[in-house]
Amino acid sequence: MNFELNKDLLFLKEMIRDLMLEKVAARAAEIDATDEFPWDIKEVLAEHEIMAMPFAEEYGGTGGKLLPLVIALEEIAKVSGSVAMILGAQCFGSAAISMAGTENQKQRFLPGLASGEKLCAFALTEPNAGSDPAAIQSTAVCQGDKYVLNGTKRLITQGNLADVLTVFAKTVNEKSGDQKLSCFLVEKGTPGLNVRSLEEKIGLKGSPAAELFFDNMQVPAENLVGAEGAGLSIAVQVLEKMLPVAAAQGLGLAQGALDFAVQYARDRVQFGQPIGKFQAIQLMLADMEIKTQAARYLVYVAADKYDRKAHDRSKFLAMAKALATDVAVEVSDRAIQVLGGYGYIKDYPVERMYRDAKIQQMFISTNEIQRIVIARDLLGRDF
Amino acid sequence: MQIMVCLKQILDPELPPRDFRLEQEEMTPVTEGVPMVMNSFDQNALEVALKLRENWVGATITAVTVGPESAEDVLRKALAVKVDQAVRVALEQDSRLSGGVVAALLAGAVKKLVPDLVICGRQAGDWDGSQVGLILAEELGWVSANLVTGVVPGSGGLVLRRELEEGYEMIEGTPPLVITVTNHESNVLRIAKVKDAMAAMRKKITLLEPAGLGIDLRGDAIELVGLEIPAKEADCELVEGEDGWEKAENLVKRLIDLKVL
Repeated sequence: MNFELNKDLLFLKEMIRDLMLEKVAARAAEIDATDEFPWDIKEVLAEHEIMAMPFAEEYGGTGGKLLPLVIALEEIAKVSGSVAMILGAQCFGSAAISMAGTENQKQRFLPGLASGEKLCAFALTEPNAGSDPAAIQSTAVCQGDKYVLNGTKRLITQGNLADVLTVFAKTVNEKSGDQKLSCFLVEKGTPGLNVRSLEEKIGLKGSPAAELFFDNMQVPAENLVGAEGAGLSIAVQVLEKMLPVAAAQGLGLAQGALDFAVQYARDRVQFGQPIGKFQAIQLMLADMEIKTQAARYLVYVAADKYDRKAHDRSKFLAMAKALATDVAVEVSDRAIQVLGGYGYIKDYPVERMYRDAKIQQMFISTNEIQRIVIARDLLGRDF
Repeated sequence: MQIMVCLKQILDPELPPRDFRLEQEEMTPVTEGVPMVMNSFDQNALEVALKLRENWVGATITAVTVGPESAEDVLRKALAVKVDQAVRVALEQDSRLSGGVVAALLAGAVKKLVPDLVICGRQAGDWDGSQVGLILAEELGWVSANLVTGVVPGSGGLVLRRELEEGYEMIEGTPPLVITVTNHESNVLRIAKVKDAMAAMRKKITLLEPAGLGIDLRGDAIELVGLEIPAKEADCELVEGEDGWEKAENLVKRLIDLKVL
């Protein structure tokens, strides 16, 4: 049994670490301060084929496996949670096309997304539907060769920037009258697609979250993903695949906060010695390391299980997401404590890491939902 | 144009002093568990080679290192930025060779690989010997130029940009040629793309044995007789005084007492 990454993945990790240190580290605080989407950094990710990582080779990607992707996300999030979200949103917004799109849809959309020239977004959440996608109120009515969509979406990462959005809305089956979710690809500039406002978030600044309003938005029928009424199944599959994406971002944030806290503990002198000499600090750092390493192994194992289609992957994906993102909040909180008052001001990066970490506990789906998935696996679905 | 670029794996010079340790009996730095990297001037040399290839249709680059199997990491890094082939002159783990012997091994590799241009970093950040490139030119009987920061094709061969104390100069050189490269903003080594990085691990590395190059490693004329980490002593003294003038006066007195002035 070998729990080490193979040489290919270690090499990839090192390459992305070097790239982040050279091109992103110096911009991280500025992105947070300005809250502006970093187009220059998006270009760096595109140029180095990091944006291509979620995609299969036949569509211009590097393979689309989750394990290399989580390693990349971890290294990016160590430096900037907001920049990691650029790649995270690209995974999230394109997954439905990769998983359930027609060949024509894949050929139309995936190469532009893999090259990083185009951006995408996943538009599921609504004012009254988050963890419960069945409660979605947006509607799509078939009219000949098009669907007409009406409704509102909230908290849509990059919803205002995306060239293509994966949108979920309810359709009505003409024969049975049943209302079911369907999935549509909506291109930027579609009449009736309106960005109402951008949410004011406490963290992940520079990664916009938009409120969208569909006003008789006409979508060609050829942009329906999968069968009409298959939207819930597609959404569930996408959400499951995206759990390690959130987990890896949490892992990177935890490691970034830990690294900074360790360095600070070496350098900061109080009572005549570096604070790292005090056991109170040592114990905190040790706990941070224990939790971060445990999260790392679970995240890697979960991603690997997904890639291998292991039968028990669902529970591992849920556990990895819940653990890594909880650890991100806990470790970045402890990092602030290690820094004392300096941890609470923006001169140091750990408060940013804490703000960026918090959303990961809710991102994709909440950690409470993950625990329900895990409990059901333990007790049985019908318990 | 066949370009050979020489790359050395060294202990990471950014290693914090607390992690730098010596194997006293072997008189060698401890390399286990500490990061090993491509020498920074060799990174500049590699970038110079890559830029020249972009400007010279049909040019190829062979990356060569002299070292144990673990040194192949620097060749993988070179393959990730798309050198055409990689060659390792195979040494045992923990071999320690002087610059002269390494130059002789590289000269042997040159005779096998027959490049037109050999590019080396100006010195390595471990021993800072600054000898290999120029001794290699001597071994080969080739013209050499040092402190080069960039190379472009010229009408008669190559145009080299050399760093000088007051600025820089442009000189012409006709291959065969050995150059050593120094750092400049134009030759910071590029970072690989994901696909190339992942493919680099599966590319072939050719091995050359020292014996096959006609080099006897026992013939090293330089013997290392001692190696130690200098003891670092720091003493801090605060100079008192009512104001800046008095402090300055007291400082001068103290410096005279200490025979600094």
